[in-house]
Amino acid sequence: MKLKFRNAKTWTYIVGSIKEILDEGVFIANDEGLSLRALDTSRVVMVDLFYPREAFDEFTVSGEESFGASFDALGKVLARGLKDEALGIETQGSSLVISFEGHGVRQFKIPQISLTVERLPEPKISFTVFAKLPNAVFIDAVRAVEEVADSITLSAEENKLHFIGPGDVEKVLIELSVEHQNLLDLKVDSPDKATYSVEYFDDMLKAARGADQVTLQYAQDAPARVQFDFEGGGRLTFYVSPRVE
Amino acid sequence: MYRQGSSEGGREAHVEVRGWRGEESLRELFKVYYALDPPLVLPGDIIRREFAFQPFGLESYVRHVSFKDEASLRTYIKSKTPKHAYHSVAIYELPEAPSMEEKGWLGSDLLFDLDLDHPGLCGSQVIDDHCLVEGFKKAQLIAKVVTKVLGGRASVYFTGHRGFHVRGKCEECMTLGRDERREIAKFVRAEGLDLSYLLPVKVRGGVSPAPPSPEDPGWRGLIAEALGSSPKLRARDLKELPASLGVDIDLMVTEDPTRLTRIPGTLNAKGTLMVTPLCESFSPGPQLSPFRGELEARALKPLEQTKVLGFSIGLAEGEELSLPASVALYLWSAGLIELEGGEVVVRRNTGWWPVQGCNWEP
Repeated sequence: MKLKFRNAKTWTYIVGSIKEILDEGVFIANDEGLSLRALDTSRVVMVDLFYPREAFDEFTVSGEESFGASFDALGKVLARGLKDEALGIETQGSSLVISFEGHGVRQFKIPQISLTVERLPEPKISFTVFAKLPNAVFIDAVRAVEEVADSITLSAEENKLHFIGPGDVEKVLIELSVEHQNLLDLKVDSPDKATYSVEYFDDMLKAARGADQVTLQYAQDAPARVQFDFEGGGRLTFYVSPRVE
Repeated sequence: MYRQGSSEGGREAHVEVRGWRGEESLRELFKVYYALDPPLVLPGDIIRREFAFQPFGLESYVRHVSFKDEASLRTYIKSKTPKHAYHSVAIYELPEAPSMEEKGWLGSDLLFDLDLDHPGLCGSQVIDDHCLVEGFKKAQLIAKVVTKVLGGRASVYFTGHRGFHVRGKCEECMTLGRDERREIAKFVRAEGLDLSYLLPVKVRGGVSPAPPSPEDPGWRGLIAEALGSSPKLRARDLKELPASLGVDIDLMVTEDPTRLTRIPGTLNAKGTLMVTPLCESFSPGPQLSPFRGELEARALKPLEQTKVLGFSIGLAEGEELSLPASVALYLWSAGLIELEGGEVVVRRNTGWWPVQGCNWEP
């Protein structure tokens, strides 16, 4: 298997986020593209990554191939990537060769990890709130909540979406709306509310920094689905389970 | 004995265990876990509940404790490091009052306690993954009784040792007394259930009675669901059915409206695992324990090859081995191994509910 992607930095952001949640995981490369779907060890977050093959400059795969990697090791290597460098990922025996091209060539070799692939279905959730927001707004809102609370409450009204940090002493409320141009889109089927651990939202911030925009969906006391869109049609989705009584 | 450090900003803590001193060491690990402020699933009416704790080193319980909010409960748990933590299924006017008369009972949730250690359910010396999955199916049947028969909401929790708690909430059930609760328990146990009335079999030359359908009320509906769409029943099936149908729950627990239930998110010292909320599917694994890392162990008893917390293991007496901390602590609590030491990573489970295997449809 040999893949080439024009912007190494994109993968620095993607893997930088994933490594906060998963220790290791199995990537699957086939006709459609490169994907990964896994649960964290406590089974409260699902990571779902898909990058279509068209987004790659080179995508050589025979049938379906998979490779397991430690995200700690992969993250360290990918952190070396620069914005104007191309990224190469190649399997060589039991190793994974990561290369950066642009300022000369740098090649890293890390071991593959043999893992069994757990084919996970997507969680069954009927979302009632749908919002699209610029990544900077998402980052600011999560950072603000994090300052005062360890959980984040999402609450929607007809035209507004609230990020609430219900701290013990301090509280924060951030109001977003299309009217004030900090939301790109908002559809509210029902004015629902749900609470999540803010830490997982913090883990997503790295991905948010490299993403074009953020799509946020949730429903009353149900998991949140947070999707980041990347150049070339790639998307990284997190499902985060809620706090319910 | 312990060198402690934390990383990842309070999501996990590393504990070096040099020499295992039994319960004393377990208490240290529990203390580190509670210091991480793990998420707890608490009732909305926390102020109306009685809380109870068993401290390490004591056989007795500290009862009649009440808290005004989650923060004060957390402060208490962090400072006391309880061996076991519970709250009442009942809500009271004055939960901290020492006697029932003074408490002023307002009502109780339904509680079903399924213990897999009862004879006949699990064979081996340790409750293994297979047994837990079988037990979970039984717990789901109880949940179905709550939702389908009683029209309430059910929550299933793994108790952190060898069983399940099913909690039922329904408005009409809150004020049921002992006798009514006992009847519900007997219904779940399928006590006195005569299937020949419920599922008449084909009589010679007679008409074929309608097969049970999942829409049927009571046990007929539950049986139809368990057996598939159009079961063909023979007389001898009916003789064998009752034993496998009912769920062997503890009658005393369900009938008593003043019972205590474990707080999801706290640890159960009997099994060293977390009281864990479950959804529609259950695959036992390390997620049931907050402990990662490795511990050195020596087998005290032989154990036939089995699967524990998703880990395949067999033991020969006297064998020395290195085990994942979650498995090591669980087997230690079952008296199968003794522990030497190692490095334990205590993790805070930062979510509250498994994202997968839950039907989140409203």
